Amino acid sequence: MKAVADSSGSVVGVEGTAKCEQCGAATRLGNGCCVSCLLKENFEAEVESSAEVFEGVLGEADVPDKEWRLGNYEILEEAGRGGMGVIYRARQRHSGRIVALKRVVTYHSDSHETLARFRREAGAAASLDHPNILPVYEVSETEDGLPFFSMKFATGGSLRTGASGLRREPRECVRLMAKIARAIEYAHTHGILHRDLQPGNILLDARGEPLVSDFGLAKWLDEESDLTRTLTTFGTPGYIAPEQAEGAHFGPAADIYSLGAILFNLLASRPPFIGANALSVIRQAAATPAPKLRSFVPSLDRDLEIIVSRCLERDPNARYQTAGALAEDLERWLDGRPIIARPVRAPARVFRWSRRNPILASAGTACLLLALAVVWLLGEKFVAPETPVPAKSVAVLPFENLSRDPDNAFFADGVQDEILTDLAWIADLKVIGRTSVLQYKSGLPRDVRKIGQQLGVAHLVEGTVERSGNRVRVNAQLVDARTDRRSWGQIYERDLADVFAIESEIATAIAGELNAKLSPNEKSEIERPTTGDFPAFDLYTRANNLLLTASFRDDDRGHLRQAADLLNQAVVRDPAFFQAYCQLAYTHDRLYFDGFDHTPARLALAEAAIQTAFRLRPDAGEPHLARAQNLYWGYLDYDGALAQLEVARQSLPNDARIFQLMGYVQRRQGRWDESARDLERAVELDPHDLETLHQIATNYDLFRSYAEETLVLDRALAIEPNHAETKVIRANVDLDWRADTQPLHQVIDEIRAGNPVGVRGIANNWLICALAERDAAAAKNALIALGETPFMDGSVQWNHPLVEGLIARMMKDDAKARVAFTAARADQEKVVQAEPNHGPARCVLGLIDAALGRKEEALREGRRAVELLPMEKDAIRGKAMIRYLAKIAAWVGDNDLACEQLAIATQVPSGVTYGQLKLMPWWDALRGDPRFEKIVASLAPKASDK
Amino acid sequence: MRPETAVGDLAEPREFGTTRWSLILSAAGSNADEQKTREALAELCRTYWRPVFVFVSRQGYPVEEAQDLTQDFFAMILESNWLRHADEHRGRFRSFLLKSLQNFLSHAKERTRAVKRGGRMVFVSWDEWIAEAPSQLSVPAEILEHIPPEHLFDLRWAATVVEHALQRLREECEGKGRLRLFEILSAHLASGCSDLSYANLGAALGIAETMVKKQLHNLRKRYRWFLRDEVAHTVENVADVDDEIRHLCAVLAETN
Repeated sequence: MKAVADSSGSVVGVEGTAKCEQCGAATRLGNGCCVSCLLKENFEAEVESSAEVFEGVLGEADVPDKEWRLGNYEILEEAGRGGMGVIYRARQRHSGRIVALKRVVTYHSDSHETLARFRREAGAAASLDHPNILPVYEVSETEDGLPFFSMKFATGGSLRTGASGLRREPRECVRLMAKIARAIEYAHTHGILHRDLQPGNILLDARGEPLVSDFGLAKWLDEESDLTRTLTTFGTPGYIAPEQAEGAHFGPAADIYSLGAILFNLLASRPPFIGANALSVIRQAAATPAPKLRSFVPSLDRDLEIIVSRCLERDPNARYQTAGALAEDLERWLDGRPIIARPVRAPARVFRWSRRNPILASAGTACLLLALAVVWLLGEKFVAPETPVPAKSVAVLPFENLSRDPDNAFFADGVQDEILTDLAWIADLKVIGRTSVLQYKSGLPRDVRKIGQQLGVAHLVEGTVERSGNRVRVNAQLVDARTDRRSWGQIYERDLADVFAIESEIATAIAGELNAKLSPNEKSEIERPTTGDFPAFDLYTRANNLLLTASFRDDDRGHLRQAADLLNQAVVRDPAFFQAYCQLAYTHDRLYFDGFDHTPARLALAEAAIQTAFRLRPDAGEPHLARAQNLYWGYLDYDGALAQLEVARQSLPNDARIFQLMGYVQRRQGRWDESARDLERAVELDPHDLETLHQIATNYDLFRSYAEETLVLDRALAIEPNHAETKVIRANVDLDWRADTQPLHQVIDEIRAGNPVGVRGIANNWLICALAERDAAAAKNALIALGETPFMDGSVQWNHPLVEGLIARMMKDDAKARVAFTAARADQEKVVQAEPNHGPARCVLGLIDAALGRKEEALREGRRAVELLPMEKDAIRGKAMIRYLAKIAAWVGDNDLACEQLAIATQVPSGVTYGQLKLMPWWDALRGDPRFEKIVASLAPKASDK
Repeated sequence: MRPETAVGDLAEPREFGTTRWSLILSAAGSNADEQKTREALAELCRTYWRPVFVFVSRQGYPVEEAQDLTQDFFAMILESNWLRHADEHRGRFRSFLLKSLQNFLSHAKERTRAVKRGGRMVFVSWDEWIAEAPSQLSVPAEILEHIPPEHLFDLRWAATVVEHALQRLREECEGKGRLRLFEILSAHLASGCSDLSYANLGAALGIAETMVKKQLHNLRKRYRWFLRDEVAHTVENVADVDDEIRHLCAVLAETN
C-alpha cells in the first residue's frame, strides 16, 4: 500500500515521504511545506511587521494579480486545489472565453514524477473527445517551463457539492451515472483508465450535465511503465477498488468499482465504506462485502441495489465486465426494462478470490488467516450468474409432527434425521448438516426460495409424520427451492415397524429425482435400518437434539450428562444400536475434554463405546470419527486424530463434523491456515452451525484480528439475531480490543432484563465484565448465576471460592479473601489429585497458592503446568499455561518472571488481550511496572482500528 | 477545498499583550460578558477541533462515535461552566484542552449514554470535513502507526498553528492583489531554504532578483508575526509564546 491517507482533514500517513532537506523532518502540510521549519521560523531574527509596513513593501513588487498571466490566459481567481495542481478560473485573451486553467503547484515543480504525471493527465484528457468528458482546449507551458492546460470551465460545481440536491431523485442520479458510465466506456475503448473516479471529479456544466474530469491518475492501458505506482498519491479511499489500493495489477473493473461507489454515494448520501482513516476504509473494502444500498435507504428499488452491488464486488471478475454493460443496465432500469445483473449466492467465488489476493483479503493481518478473511454471505450475494448453487444439493427440513401425542415430536425429528443421514451417505450430493436446518421449525410458514438461498441448496425436503398406535403415516415432499415447485411427493402409510424402510425409500427416491449416482456401498448404507427398537430410537433422537444445542462455551455439562444418560438407556434397549454407541463415545469425550470430568474413568467409558462400535461395524466411517474425537480430546494425539478423520471422510462425504474437527486439531498444531480452510468447509456443509462460526471467531480472536472476528460474529448474528451467547461474545470483542466494557455491560443488562433463563449461559461473561468494572456486587450475582458451572478464564477453570477470594481481595477484605482462598485450595487439591497431569488444574492450584502467599509452591505448580502442557503440545492452552505462570509470578511479587512470561504469552496466537491486561484485577500487581505497561501499550488499539 | 476554519472570520490581529486565551481565563472568574467570552472560546475551539478529533479517533472509536464524542466534548466545554475548572491547568489552551479531553473521555461512556442522537449540538461540520481535500498534513505512515495519541494531538496542533498563520498571510496578500506573489514565494518561507534560486523566482514573477529577496524577507517577517499571534492566542502570557513553540518543535523532532 502506497499511501495511508486519512479520509480527510486530519492526518495522513504516507509511505516514502521525502524528508525535509533543511531539518530532516517528514511531517508536511498539504502544500508540501515542512511544519517543523515553519515553526522554527519563529526563532529567526526579526519579528516586527505591522500590516502597514508589510503591505507597503508588498505593493513595491510590480506583480499585481490582475496582470497575472499564464501563456495566453489571464488568471482571474483560484477555483480549486488538488494534490499536485491548482486550478484557476482564467480568461483566454483575444477570444475572452472563460476557461479552467490547471497548473502544477510550485512546490511540486521540481518533481519529475509530478511533472510526468501532470503531462500525462493533460495528454490523456486532450486525446478524449466525448460530450461527458471535460474537454481540454490547450496544453502549453509557462515561460519558466512548467506545464499547464486549459479546459472547459464547468459552472455547475461537482457531484461532491451537488450531491445533496440529488439525494431525493434516484432517477436523476441514475441518468447521470449512465452518462458517466458511457463516458468511461469511451475512455476505456480509447485505452485510458481514469483510476480516480470520485464525486469531486465529476463536474457539472451549466445545464447539470456531467463532465468527467481529472485524469490525473490516468493510465494508458498498454503502457509498460507505471509511474504512478511509485507516487505517494493514489485514488480516493472510499471510491478506490480493493485491487487498486493493494497496488496489484488492475484494469477497467477498478473504474467500474469507483462508478458503483459514486452511485452508492449519490443514492445513500455516503460512500459504501466510511472509516476514521483511509487505511480502515481500504481494509473494510478489502475484507467485507459492500453494505446493501437498501440497508441505508430501504425505499430504493431492489434492482438498483443489485446494480450497485455488482459494481462493488471485491472480485473484479464478478463486476460488470465493461463500463458499457453497467451503462446498459442503468439505461434498462431507466426504461423500466429488466436489468441483466442478477443476485446469486456463490461464496466459493469470493473464497477463491480471497485466496488469490491474500494481502487484501487478510487486510494486512497475519497471512495465515487469509482463508478466514472470506466473508460468507448470509443473505443474497450478488455475483455473476454463472455460479449458481449446485443442482445436486438438498436440505432436509424438520418434519411436522401430526400425532396427537406431543411426545411423538421426537419421532418426527427422528424421521427427518434418518432421511438426512441416509442422503448424507451419497457423495454425489451436497447435503446440509443438522444444525443448519434446526431453525426452520415445522408448522411455521416457510419461504422456500429464501431458505434455499440461505442454505445454498437447490432442493428442500419437507414432510409430516403421524404416528398412531402401531401405524405410521409419512408424507414427504421434494421442493425445488429455485422455483418453489414441488418436484416429487409421496405418502407412505405402513406399520410402525416399517418406518426405517420408509426413510430409506424416501432417501432413495430423492436421490433418484436429483439424478445422484449411488454406489453399491452407499445403497446398502441407506437401506440399513438404524435400530429395530422404537423407544431406543426415541431416546437416541432426544440425545441428539441435546447434543446439537451444546456448545463449548455454553453451560453444557447438564446437556452432555443428560445426553449420555439417554444414550446409555438406548444401548441397553438395543445393544446393537451402532449409531448410539458412536454418539455416546462423542459425549464422553466431550465431558472429558471440556473439563467437566477430566478423569481416566470418563475416557474408559468413551473407549468402551468406541470398541463396541468398531465391533458392530468395523468398516463404517463413524467409529473412525469417534476414534478421532477420542484421540484428540482424550489424548491430544493430533496426528492420530487426523489419520482417523481421513478414513472417516471416505465414507461420510457430507459430515461437517469431520471438517470441524480437522479445523480444531490443526490449530492446536499451529496449522492455522489449514484450520481456517477446514472450518470454512464445515460451515459450507452446515452453514448455520453457530458453534463452528464461534470457533472461526476464536481463531481471529487469538490473533487479535478483531475486525475479522466481528464480521464472523455478525454472520452468526445474522442467522440468529437474538442468540444471547453470540451477542455476548460479540460485545466482548470491544472489551478485548479497546478495553471498553460498555457494549458487554449493555448486552448483559438486556439479556438479564429480557431473558432471565438465558442468564446462566452468559454468566461467565457477566462475571468477566463485573470484574473488569470492579463491581463486586455484580460479580457476586454473576457467580451465583453460574450455578454449579465453574468460571472459565479462557480454557482454565476456576472453582467458585477462588472467584470469591478474588472479589474479596478486590474489596480489600483480606480476611475474607484468605478464608475463600483456603477453601478454594482444598477444592482444587482434590481436582489435582484426581488428575495430577492436567496442566490447567495445576496452574489454578498455583494461583491459589500465590494468593495464600505460598510463594515456592505457587511457582512450582505454575512451572509444572507449563511442563505438562507445553506450547508444542497445544498451541492454544500451552500459551494459557504460560499466561498463568505470569499471573502466579505477579501474585507472589516476582515481577521479573511475571513480565518475562507475560511477554511470551502475549505473542499471537494468544488469549492475552489489551482489555484483559488493562482491566482485569488479576493483573493489578503489575500495574506501574514499566515492562508491564509497555506490553499493555503494545496491545493498545491503533487509530486505524475503526 | 479550503479548510473551513481558515476563512477571514478571525478577529484582526491585535497587539501582543492580551491574548484570546487570557481574556477567556480572566473573564471566567469575573462577571464579564458571558456571551462574548463564550464566542471567544468557540473561536479557539473552531480553530483547534482537529487535534481533538484526531485524539478521539486514536482511542479506537468507530468514526461516527468519534464524531459524536468530539461534538459532545465541545458542547460540554461551551455550554457548561467548564472554565470555572480552568485554574488547575491554566496557562496553555493546548494542554488544558488535552487534559479536559482526557478527562472527558474517561467518562465518555456515561456521557454518550446520556446524549440522545440527533439532540446533540453541531459544532464541527462533518460534511465539510468529509468534503475536504484528502489531507492537510502528511506524516510518514510508520510514524503515524506508532505515535502515542498525545503526540498526535500536539502534532496536529502544530500543523494547525502553521496552517493558520500561512492562511492569514495568504489572505493579506490576496487582499492586496498579490496572491500570485504569495503562490510563488510561499514555498520558500522558511529561512533555512538553501538552494534557492532568486533568479528563477524573479523570472517566474517578472521582477528583479533584489526585489525577490526583499519580498521574501517581507513575507517572512509578516509570517512570523502571524505565527506568534496564532500561538499567543492560546497561551495566557505572551511571554510563553516562544516556550510553546519550542514545545511543539520538540514534539515534531521527537516524532520525526
